[in-house]
Amino acid sequence: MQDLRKGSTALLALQLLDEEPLYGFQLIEALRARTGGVLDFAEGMLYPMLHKLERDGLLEGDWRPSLEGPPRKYYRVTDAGRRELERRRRDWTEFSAAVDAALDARRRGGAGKVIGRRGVKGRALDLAPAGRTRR
Amino acid sequence: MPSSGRHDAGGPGQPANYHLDGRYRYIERYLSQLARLAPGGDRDELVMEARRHLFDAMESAVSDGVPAETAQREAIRAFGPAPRIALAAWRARGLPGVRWAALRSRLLGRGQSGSGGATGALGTEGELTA
Repeated sequence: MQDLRKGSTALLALQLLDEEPLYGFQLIEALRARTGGVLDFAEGMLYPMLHKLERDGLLEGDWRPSLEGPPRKYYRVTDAGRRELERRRRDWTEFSAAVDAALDARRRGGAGKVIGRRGVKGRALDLAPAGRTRR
Repeated sequence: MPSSGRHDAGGPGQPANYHLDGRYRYIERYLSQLARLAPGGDRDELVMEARRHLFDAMESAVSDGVPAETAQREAIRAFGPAPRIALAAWRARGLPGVRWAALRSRLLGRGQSGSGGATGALGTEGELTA
């Protein structure tokens, strides 16, 4: 399951931040709440990723002072980030549909329809051995 | 003079001098280490966000009845080792492969890759845990 979770962090962060601006701690809490604790950001690793998304122009951050403790940096999705979110969401849907198709065929007890190395929309599935995913 | 309560170091209505308050000494020690290791371009923001995050995590635990010292340690543990976070920050800045390998070896120790291998665990996509 760990391999499946890798690579989806940016997608999840973009999705949650598209709904409302959040700071890091809130983002972690939001993901925990939404997935019943099944998915969780590795806390400290979140910030380098957010900084990268910001440098790439997908997020914008602004510091807001707080009367209780240090200031907080709120992130929100830019227009480019929204387009990237759509792209990643499409990729994820295609990927999960392909996996579902393979699992359903197995559950039915037969080989099912062989989808080979093509994805659901004719795109090549990029399946690396031992659970490693190439980009 | 020791702190008498939460967030009171700066006086009523003022931001607390949290960084001068002995209550947060473990967090400040951790942040010093993070600041030493993080890449220059990211250092200030990374440390400021880490400070806020650890502060929130600690205060949340304290409000649940956890002793302050334990809460600090737990917040730091959940945040992750400073060398690993710093390395992820270097990686996210696109450090060239050769320098990356050397830095990884220096910060984490030769051959230490953590779960899933260094590039998987420390990739710019971040990491999810169970």
